Amino acid sequence: MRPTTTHRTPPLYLWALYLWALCALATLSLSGCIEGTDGPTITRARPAPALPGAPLRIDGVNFGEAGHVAIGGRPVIERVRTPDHIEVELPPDLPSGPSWLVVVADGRPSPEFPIEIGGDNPPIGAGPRVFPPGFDSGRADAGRPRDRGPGVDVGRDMGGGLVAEFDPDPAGDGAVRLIARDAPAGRLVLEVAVPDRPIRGIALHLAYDRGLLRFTSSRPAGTRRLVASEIGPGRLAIGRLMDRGAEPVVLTFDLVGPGEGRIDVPARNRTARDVANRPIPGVDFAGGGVRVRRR
Amino acid sequence: MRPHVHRARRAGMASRWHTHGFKMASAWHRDDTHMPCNHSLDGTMASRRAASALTAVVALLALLAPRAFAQDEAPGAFKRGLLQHALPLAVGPSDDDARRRADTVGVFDLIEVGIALDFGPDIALPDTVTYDVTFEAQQPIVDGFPLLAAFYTPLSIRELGGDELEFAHSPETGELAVFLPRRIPAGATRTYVIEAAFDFVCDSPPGCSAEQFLHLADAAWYPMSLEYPVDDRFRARLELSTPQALTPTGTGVRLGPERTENGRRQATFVTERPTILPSFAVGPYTRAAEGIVELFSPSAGGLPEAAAGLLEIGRDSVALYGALFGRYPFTRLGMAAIDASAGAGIGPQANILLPDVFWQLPPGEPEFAAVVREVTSHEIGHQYFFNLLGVVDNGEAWMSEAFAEYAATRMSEQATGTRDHARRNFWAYVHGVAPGEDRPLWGDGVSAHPRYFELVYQKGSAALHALRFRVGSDRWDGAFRGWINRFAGQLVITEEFEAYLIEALGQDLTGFFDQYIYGAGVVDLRVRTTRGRTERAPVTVQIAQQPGRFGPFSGPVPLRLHDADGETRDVLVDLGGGDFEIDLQGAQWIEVDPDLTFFRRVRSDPAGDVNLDGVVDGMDLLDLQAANGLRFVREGVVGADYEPDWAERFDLDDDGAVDDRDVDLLLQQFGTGW
Ligand SMILES: [Zn+2]
Repeated sequence: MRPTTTHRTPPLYLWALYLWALCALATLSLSGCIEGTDGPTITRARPAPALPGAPLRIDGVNFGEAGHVAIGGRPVIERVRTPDHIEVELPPDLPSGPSWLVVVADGRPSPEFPIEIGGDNPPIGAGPRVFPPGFDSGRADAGRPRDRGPGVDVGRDMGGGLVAEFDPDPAGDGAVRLIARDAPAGRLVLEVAVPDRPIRGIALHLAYDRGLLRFTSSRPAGTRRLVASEIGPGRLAIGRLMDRGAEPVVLTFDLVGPGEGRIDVPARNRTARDVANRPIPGVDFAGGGVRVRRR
Repeated sequence: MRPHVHRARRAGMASRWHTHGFKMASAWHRDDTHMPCNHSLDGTMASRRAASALTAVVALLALLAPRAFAQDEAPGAFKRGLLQHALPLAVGPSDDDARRRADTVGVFDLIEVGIALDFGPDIALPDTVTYDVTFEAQQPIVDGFPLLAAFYTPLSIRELGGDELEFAHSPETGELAVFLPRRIPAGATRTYVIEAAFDFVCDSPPGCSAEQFLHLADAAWYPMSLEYPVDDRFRARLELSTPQALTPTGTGVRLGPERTENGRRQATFVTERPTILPSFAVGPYTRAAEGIVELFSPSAGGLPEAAAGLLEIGRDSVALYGALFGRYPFTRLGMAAIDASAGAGIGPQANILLPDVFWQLPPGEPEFAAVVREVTSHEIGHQYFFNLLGVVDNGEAWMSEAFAEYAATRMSEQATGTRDHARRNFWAYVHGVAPGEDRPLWGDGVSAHPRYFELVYQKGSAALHALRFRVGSDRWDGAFRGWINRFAGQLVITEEFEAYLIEALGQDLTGFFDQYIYGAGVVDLRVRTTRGRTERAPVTVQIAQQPGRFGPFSGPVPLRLHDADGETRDVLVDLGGGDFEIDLQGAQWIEVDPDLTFFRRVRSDPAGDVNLDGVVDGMDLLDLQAANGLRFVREGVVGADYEPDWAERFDLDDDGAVDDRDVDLLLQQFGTGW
C-alpha cells in the first residue's frame, strides 16, 4: 500500500565537488576560444556622401556578430550585421558635413573611417545673439531653436572664419567641469574633467545653443563604456564608465555662427556614481559661458 | 477564485465527508451485534470510510513528501528537496465544523496519546509498541469506537485498570473497532492501552529513514481519530528506551532528566501544547545545549565543528521569531541529525530534524552555510506555522510552508543584511513557473503540481513580503504578530488570515488576495515615460500591461523617484488607471515597484530607457553597465539559483542575461525620447 522509494540522495558536498570540476572545464575551453582575433576595420561606406535618414552600407572585416556603429560619436540603428558588412539607418537629423564612422565589434572599436554627410540641412544661426543663461529658467534646457521661424532666411558659416572663447563657471576640483583646450579655427574643444576621487561613472547632458555649436566628435571614440552623442540640436548626452587609467573625454564642437551663450549641465541629467552605482552626493557639475566670434 | 467559490467548494466537500462519517458513526452506535475479534470489516460503510481515509493518508504522504531525486538531477533540486519536507496532514474533512478549533469534533476528542517504544541495539524500529489513548466522549458512546490503525496491528486492548476488550482490525483499511461492554456517557474521559505489533516499514524518506540514524515523522504510526485524523490534536507522551549507545529525542519537552535503568536510557517527552504529529529520532548523538536549544549532532565521539553554527542558528531564530511572531511557543527546541537519504529538513513540534550533511559541510563555503541557515530556520518557523497555528488541508498548505519560508527569509534578512533570500524566492516563481504551469497557490490545484515548491514555498513567501511592503514593514509586523497571537493553538485557513489582516490594518487587501493568492499569473508591464523639455516639467508615465491568460491585473503600483543625491520618494499609481502625470520635484529617475509588491515583470519602453527618465542617455548606460553580467539564474556551488538583483528592465533583448548585446541595443537607441 505504501509508496516505496529507493532513490538515494548523494550527500550535498559530493555535488559541490562535481560542480567545481564542471566549472573548471568550462573555463578552460572558453578562454581558449577568445584568443587571437583582430579588431574590426572599415574599408568602404556607401553611398558617399551618406544621406541622413537613408540606409548606409559599411564594408570591412572582423565585424563580428554584435556591437554597434557610431557616426560622429552618435550610435545609429543597425539593420544587418555580418562579419564583413553592416547596414545601418542614418538618423534623419544628422548634420551635414565631414564626419567619421566607427564600428564596434565585440567591444573593440575600428579605426575611424572618414565620411561626408550630404543633404541640405536647413542653415541656422546668423548674426550675434545673446542667450540668457541658466537652465533653471528652463530655457537653456529647451534644446530646440527659439530663434528661427518660417521665412527667416539665415546664413550658415561652418568654415574656419570663427573662433570661440570658453569661460568656465567657477568650480573646485571636486566638480565635474569643462576645460577649454587648444582648438583649430572653426572648432571648440572641451575636456570633461572629473574630480580625483573614486567614481565609477558619470553621465551628463550639455545644453547649448544650436546656433553657436554643433557637436562633432569625442576622443576617445565611443565604446560600450563611453558615449557622447548629440541627441538633439543643442543637446549632448554623455555617459562614461571611469575605467582605471582612462584618459579624459575630449569633446569637439563645430562653431556654427557667432554669438554668446552658455553651456549648461542640467540638474536632472547629471550624475556621478560610486562603485555600487549609487549617486555620490555633493559632486557639482559646472558649465560655462561661450562666445563665438569672427576671426 | 474568490472565497465564495471557496466556501461552495468546502460546503460540497463537507457534506460528502461529514454525512459519510456521521452515518458510519451512527451505524456503530446502533449495531447491537458485537463483531468477533479480527473480523474483517469488508463491505460495511465503515470500512469504505476507513479505506478512503487510509488511501487519503497514503496518497497525501506521497504527495507531500519531497520528490525523490535521481543522481543526475540538478543540485538545485536537492536544495528544494531539503526544504520540501513532509507535511503529513490534511486527510478528509475540510468543512468548517471539522476544522474550526479542531479538538471538539466527532464522537470523541483525543486528549492524549502515549507511545512507548523500546529500541534494540541496531538502528531499526521496534517490533512492538504500547499506546495509551485518552479521549473525552463528545456524546454517549454505546457499543464501541473506531480508531485509525494503519501501521500497527493491535494484539490486546484494555481499558486502563480494567479488563481486556474485544476489537476488530482490518489491516487492509486500517480501521480498528474497539467494542465496549458498557456505554461511555458524554463528557466522560477514558484511557485505553493498546499493545501492538509495529508494522511501520521505514522506507519513505523523508517521513522515515534509518541508516545511521532513525527518525519517524510520518503520519498514522500511532492511533488517530478515524473521522478526523488530522484535525484532532492531542497531547503526546513519547517514552523512548534505548541502549546506552543511542540517544533519543522526540516531540515535546523532556520530562525530567534522562534516566538509566538496567543499562538502558529512558527518556520521556511530553508536549505542552496539543500536537498533530509527534515524531522522534534516535541515533549515536552527542548532545549539546544552549538555552532552550538542544542539538543532537551526528557523532558519539565529540562535537563536530558545525555544531556551534547550528546552535547559533537555533538560538538566533528563536530570538528573532520571538520578536517578530511572539514568544517561542514551546519550552524546548530539539535539533537532531537524520540521514541525508531523507533529503529533507522536517519541522515537527519542538523537535526539528536536519540532514546529517549539515554537520559535514566544507568549511568556508558561504553558499552551503546559507542553505543550512535557510533550511534550519524554515523548520524552526514551522514551530509557529503548522505546529502552533495548524493547517487544515492540502489546499491550505501555503499557510504552513509559505509562512515557515517567510520566517526563514526574515532570518536570512537579519543574518545577511539583505533581502536576497526573499527576492530569490520572488524570481524563482516569476521565472521558474511558466504561464501554462501557473495556478493559485491556494486550493487543491497546486497539490500534486510539479512546481509545488515554486508556487507554495517561494511564491507564497514572496506574497507575504509583497504584503509587508504594501502596508509598510512596521505595520505589517504588528498585524502579523497579532494574527499569530489571535489564532495560537488553533487551525487556520486563508480566508481567516485575509479577514484578520483587512481588519487589523484597515486596508482593503481583497484585490491582492484575489489576484495573487486565490488567483495566479504574472503581469507584464511596459512602462513609458514622456518628459517635457524643461527642467521642471512634469513627466507622464504610461503603464501598459500585456494581457495574459489570467486576464488584466489591477492595484497600486509603487513608483520610487530617485533624487540626484540618492534620496528617494515613493508615489503610488493605479495599475490600469491610464497615464499618470508625475511631478518629479527634482527627481532624476523612476523605478517601478522596487520592493516587489506584486508579481510582475517590468520593461521600459523604449527598452533603452532603463531608468525611466524619458530619454535613453548616459545615465541608462551607467545603470545598464552596473547590471552587466547579471543573469536571472546564477550557478553557484550548491546549484542554480535566482539572482536577487535581477530586473527585466536591464535585459533589453529579453534573453535572461544582461550582457553586451543589451548595451549595444541601448546604444542603438541612444537619444531616443529627446
Ligand atoms: Zn516546511
